Amino acid sequence: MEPTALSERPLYVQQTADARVDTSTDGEFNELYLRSYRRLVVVAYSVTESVAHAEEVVQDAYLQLLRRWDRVENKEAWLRRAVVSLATSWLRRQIIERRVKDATRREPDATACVNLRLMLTRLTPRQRAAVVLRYYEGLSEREIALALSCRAGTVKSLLSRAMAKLKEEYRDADRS
Amino acid sequence: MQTDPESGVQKRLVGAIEAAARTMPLRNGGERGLHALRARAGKPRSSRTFKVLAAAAVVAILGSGAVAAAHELGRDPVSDDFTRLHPDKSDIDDVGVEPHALVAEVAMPDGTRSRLFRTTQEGSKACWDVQQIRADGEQLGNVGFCRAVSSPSLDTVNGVIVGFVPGEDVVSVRATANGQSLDAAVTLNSFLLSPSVASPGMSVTLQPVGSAGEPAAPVVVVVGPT
Repeated sequence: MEPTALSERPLYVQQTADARVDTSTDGEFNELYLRSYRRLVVVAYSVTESVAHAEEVVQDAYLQLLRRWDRVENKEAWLRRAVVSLATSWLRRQIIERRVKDATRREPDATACVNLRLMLTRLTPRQRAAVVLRYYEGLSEREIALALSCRAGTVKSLLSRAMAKLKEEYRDADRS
Repeated sequence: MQTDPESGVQKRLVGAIEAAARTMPLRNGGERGLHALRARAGKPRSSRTFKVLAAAAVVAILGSGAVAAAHELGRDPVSDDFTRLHPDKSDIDDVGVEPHALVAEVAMPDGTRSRLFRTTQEGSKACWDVQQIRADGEQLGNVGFCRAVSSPSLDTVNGVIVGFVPGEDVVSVRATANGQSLDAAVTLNSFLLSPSVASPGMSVTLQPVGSAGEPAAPVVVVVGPT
């Protein structure tokens, strides 16, 4: 086997330098953070099923928002979209690494979190995100479509299938 | 009185979500989390000027073979490839969202984590970005690069080894060097290896594995320098 030589080299480097986040947005950003942090963690948790990773995802989303603050018009909608995207990206990687079960088993969640996780266990990650955005965040199908980067029709279908699964589960539980 | 099954389910669902939200043990909620986030955000980020200097340094190291690149980099710190893949250059800093995807992460013994992001657009080239994050969450810096996605590669970037293996449906790769083997998960044909596995200039055998567990033919790749 012939070794494959490198054909190209790194093209840019980002290290510490002089560009800092604009702090003139402090008050508005702080207010948004304190008001929406927990709710966004719940949204992220619906996808990651891990509070620690949900928090990591949400912190990353806020950081990204802070860095593009002036360019984002609807900041809450942007945050929701970033949170779902980052959480889905995290989950995809975990699934590939086949560590999802281990990771969720390791984390000592509050009982209510475990209950919620069990309740949503039969739903796909996108269905879980859709029901949390609809019934907890109270978003419209159009707003959920923005958060999930899909069409409103897809949201309708995600919600309808999710609710059908949940109803079926409760019927089974009530019978037993 | 009969309850509508749908509203009954909704009621239970909302109750469960609200209970979870109330009792969720958050480490970064409230002022403490805000302070931590501000600390991360307050850390200096990249500047154009720095990129130009860094690019010039890269060009100087590469020598005359990189004259064409020097011209491009002199005109703009980001190459044409990168510009094409990132129409909004400020997105370089926002690598967690499209058109980038987080594809791998490794932790060092000192707790430092390296996270690898890759552009998601299909094409003959792609760009990667390695973020280094200290154990306390502070971001230490990024190094990015673009390359053709035709042949397997290993590059030492920001203290870790960034790997690429072409092919559809590759889910993992076995890297063998110095008689030792290590399996790494592959996402978007990309993976990360700890620097303890190999060092620049070393030959590493890479054997991609498909989702059905079938190994592809091994290839030998020389680890690129920093």
